[in-house]
Amino acid sequence: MKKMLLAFLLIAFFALYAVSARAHGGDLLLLPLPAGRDPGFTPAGMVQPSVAAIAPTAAPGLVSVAAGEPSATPAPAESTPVAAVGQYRDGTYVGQSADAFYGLVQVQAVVSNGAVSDVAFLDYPHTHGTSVSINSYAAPMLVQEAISAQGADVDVVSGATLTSLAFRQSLESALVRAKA
Amino acid sequence: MGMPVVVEISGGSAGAMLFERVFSYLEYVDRKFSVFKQDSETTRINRGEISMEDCSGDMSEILALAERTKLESNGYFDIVTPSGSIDPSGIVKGWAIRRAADILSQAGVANYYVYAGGDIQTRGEKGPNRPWTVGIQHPFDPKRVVKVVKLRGEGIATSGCYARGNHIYNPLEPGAPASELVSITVIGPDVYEADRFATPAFAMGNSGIDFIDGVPGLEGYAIDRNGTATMTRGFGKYVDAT
Repeated sequence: MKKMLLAFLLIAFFALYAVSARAHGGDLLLLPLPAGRDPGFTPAGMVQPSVAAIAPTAAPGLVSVAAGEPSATPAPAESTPVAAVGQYRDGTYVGQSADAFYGLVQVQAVVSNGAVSDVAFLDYPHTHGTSVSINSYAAPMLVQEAISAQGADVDVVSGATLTSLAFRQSLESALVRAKA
Repeated sequence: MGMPVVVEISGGSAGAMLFERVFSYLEYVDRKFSVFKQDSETTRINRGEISMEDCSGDMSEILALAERTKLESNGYFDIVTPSGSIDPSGIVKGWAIRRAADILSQAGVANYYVYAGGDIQTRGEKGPNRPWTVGIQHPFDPKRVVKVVKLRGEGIATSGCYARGNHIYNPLEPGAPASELVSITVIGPDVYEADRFATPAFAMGNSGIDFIDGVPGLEGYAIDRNGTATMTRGFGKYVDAT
């Protein structure tokens, strides 16, 4: 339960983070993860309880492929200390994989012009049965196909006949032309 | 109902009277609800001659069901037209076909379908171990089908607009964009459920199939203007059924 809460807070934090970053472009908690740093993924360890109220589905809205290939390395090559509170080095930063109970979560944040411009999931829980349904709720992947005429005999056909509304619209437009 | 009606009964025998009762019932529904009939109850309500509080039992039921469907479809189903009049045809058809099917069931008929205006209520089977086979109409080639599903008691409804080529002008909403889908077919536990959700799902465009996917008990097959079909996660069971 704690781990699930952590996962939600994690995702919700980034949701709140990206939203506030776009709005304020400044005072942020996220620090780029220099090499060798202790991996605790929660940046400052301090997450507002109210952040947990943001539904996990808020996060998928932020999932976007950051420009360029997702980094396979867990940290940028050189250490990039924070220049000042609110100032962040432009670049792509990958968080450590975090155990979200249903699987691993790994997030990549892109900073440009000193603000987070993109947050992307590099890995998200997808192996546990429950986590599959959580992700499916957020963005179900439905099967698609190109239609093609079938040769089979059928008993009856279901199709869209002209609806009453369409019929009336057509009639009205004809009457409008008739008046002109 | 101002549209073709077909009833097929399999196995057993049914007298002409029973078919007549089904057709008569659907004619009654058409007389009462059609917006194209000058003296239908719908038209009289729209002319202000009857208030909704004083309307008939069937109309009251339709109005209540429409209100519930509007809530369940996040407002995408609405029998109130832009001009303020009501047009309940998006829910009456499925409701009436199911009622018509009940006439057959109550008369002891176990295997049949009732088809009206592109929507179908099935019951039982076409033959021993042989489900009813229903084709989904090809949106660009009316004499062909694009998919075959096997039903044993489910209802199926298709909502859409096949007109292509010339832009579809809507005199009621001149600025409205053309629909993203050409059709969406919904399979449900009965044709009333299928029909009342197919109507708003079509209006939702590309999101409609996600909406259907999220409603327990419904499966769907949406076709867009490019001929790409998207199906709900459980739709395949009706394709693969034997």
